[in-house]
Amino acid sequence: MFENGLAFRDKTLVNYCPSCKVVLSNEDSQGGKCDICHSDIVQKSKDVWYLRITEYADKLLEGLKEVDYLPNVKLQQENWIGKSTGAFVNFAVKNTDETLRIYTTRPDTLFGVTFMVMAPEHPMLDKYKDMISNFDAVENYRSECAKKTEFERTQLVKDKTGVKLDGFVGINPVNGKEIPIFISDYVMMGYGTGAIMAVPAHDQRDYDFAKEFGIDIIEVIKGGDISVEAYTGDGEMVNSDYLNGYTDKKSSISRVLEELEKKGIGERGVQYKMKDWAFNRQRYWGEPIPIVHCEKCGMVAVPYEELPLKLPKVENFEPGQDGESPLAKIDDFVNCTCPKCGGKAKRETDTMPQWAGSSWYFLRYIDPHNDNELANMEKLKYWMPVDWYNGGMEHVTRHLIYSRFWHKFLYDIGAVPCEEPYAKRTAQGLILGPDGVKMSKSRGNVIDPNEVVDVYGADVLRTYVLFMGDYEQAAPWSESSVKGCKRFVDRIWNLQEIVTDGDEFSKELSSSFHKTIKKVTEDIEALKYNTAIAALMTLLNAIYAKGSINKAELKALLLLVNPFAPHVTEEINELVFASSDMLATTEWPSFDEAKCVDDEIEIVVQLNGKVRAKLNVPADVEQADAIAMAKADEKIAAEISGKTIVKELYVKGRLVNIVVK
Amino acid sequence: MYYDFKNAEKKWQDNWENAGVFHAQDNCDKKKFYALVEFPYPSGAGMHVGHIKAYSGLEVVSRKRRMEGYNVLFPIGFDAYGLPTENYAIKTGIHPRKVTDDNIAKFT
Repeated sequence: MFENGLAFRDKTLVNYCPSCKVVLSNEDSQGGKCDICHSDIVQKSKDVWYLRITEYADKLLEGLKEVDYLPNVKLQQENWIGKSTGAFVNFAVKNTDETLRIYTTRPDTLFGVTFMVMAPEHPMLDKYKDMISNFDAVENYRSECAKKTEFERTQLVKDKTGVKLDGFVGINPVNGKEIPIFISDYVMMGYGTGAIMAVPAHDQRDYDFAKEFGIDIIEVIKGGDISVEAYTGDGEMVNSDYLNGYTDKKSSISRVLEELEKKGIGERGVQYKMKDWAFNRQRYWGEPIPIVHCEKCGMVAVPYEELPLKLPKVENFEPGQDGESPLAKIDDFVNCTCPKCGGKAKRETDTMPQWAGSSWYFLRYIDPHNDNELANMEKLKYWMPVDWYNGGMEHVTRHLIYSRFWHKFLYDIGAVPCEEPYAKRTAQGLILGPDGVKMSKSRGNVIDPNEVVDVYGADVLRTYVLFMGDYEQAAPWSESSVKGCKRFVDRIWNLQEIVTDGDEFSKELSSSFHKTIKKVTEDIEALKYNTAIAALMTLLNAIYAKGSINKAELKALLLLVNPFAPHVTEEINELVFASSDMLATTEWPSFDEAKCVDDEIEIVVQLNGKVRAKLNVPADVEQADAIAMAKADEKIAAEISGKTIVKELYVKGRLVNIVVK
Repeated sequence: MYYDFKNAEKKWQDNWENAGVFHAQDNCDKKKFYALVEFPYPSGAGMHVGHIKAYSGLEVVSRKRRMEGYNVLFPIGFDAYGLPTENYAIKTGIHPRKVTDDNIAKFT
């Protein structure tokens, strides 16, 4: 990635956790709290490593079309990438040659722009500080901002603060009107262009800001009451010159884009919410970044033949107060020679974040002992992509997007054979405590799986966690339901007492077996483990109701239960069949669709089109037999007695109709 | 009838291991099935019932696919690097290498 310009260093404001003493990505500091220790994060200017994931934003979105992920997994990824289409518009600054470039998804509201806001850190301010007569107010505001986290700055519900720039005035390019420019903390340098246009009539944050600072509010879309609040709905365009009268948002956007492009003051553009990936930690326990800093050559990659660069063993692994990596204290690790010029150089001492290893482990597990390459290409061709990846919902944005990004890069440089790493992604629901809330030590509602295995055995635990409810939903732990699964395993064990000989399914149980084989076969593939197990329990009831099970039936049942309860089924198989063939190496049972039908079905009997009786008949009953059975029914026999039968008919599987006079 | 699950479960785990029935084959003519789960952090708390649910799901699919004639790769391991282990190490003063090894022993 370094060689391809996708790994770079940049000075920036970073989310810094003073407690963990690390720089955190936005995703790891949601809500202004450290994802690991939950303490408040602060903003710090630092030179950090980034991976240019934004370069792959479109490929990451496109790729979602060809994979089989749960719909909400796809949606979360789309939202995280956050692609929007809109326009870049250049606003001239009065008495300068400068233009302030902004991005907007609503160029149709340009005539309603009554002010602009720049990030307090915007470098253009320093360039024109002589023009700005209240520059000391700007500097004061800047130092206040430095104390705030990005989260605090961009929160929607908060008092609006800012400074109006005296002598630094913008010009609305669509109507030539002069508009004031403010600085305010809610505009960040890192997002978009570091400046925004504001349409107070149709954006609530702009509206609040305009009210606070007494700025004009000009309605350009009819439909709301802008004396009360911003109107964000659709409607007829007003106060907008050539757009007046337009009622459709799409058409007005496309018209204004035409005008902008014609006049050279703006153009269509896309933006992403996703930012480049802050890829570094000043900590010990991670993969060292294989880069050497040379005074003469700059940053140089560690040569391939010296890879992998191993993490040196240290005694003192605690991070320093200065936020420097513990590796920086190890002189014989840090001091090295430059691979390019042979001069004195120093190694990079940051390590990779915990998302690094999980971005490619599935490739290495295919060929873990290969000393020459990531993994052998032939083996990768055979095994990749991963056919089915299951994990937690908490990993469907960060981990899943990061690893897809690495994989797409590896594909582009020819190191892996497929574009997408995972063909299918599912996610399991949480197991809640018996009290219905998330398990936690402090609540004392944690169930230890080892204790369950000690008391009931592994087969019961496996069966229970898959039986407890819809696999993808959260479900509370239930001791009585665990006991129900224990009873299920015991009832299977006790089948040994009622085994009879037989090398095909008995007439009585045949359709039950075919139906259950079909259901279990299909349900397992659809994550419906609970209904598969329920079907097996129903089959057991049918077997015990009959009072016996023959060997062909037992074999099929053991195979069906084996994936859920592998130990007990292998044990019974060995005892009953006295064979050395394990179930694990036996073929999965097959079903005959035609035999999945019920043995008996219920039909109705009509007299002159009116339902008079219900009747159980064999599923494959012939027309003549069905009619004969209908006429033999006590009630029907009484009603037709002495009458002339004009017509008789049987609608297969549904009814017999007899027309009498 | 009494089912001695403790002995039976140990016995079959050994039998499967000795027979290598879960080994994935390279250079194989069979259809492949690659099932993947998110490996556990080797945390001090050890195995959690959530792990059992997360891993049993695809474990069941993998067993079924083997019986259906697939060559199945279903790896397990540990996600050892990163802050959870390191923060625990810093809190207790135990080296993260040792924390990791000790906790892996708890899981296995």
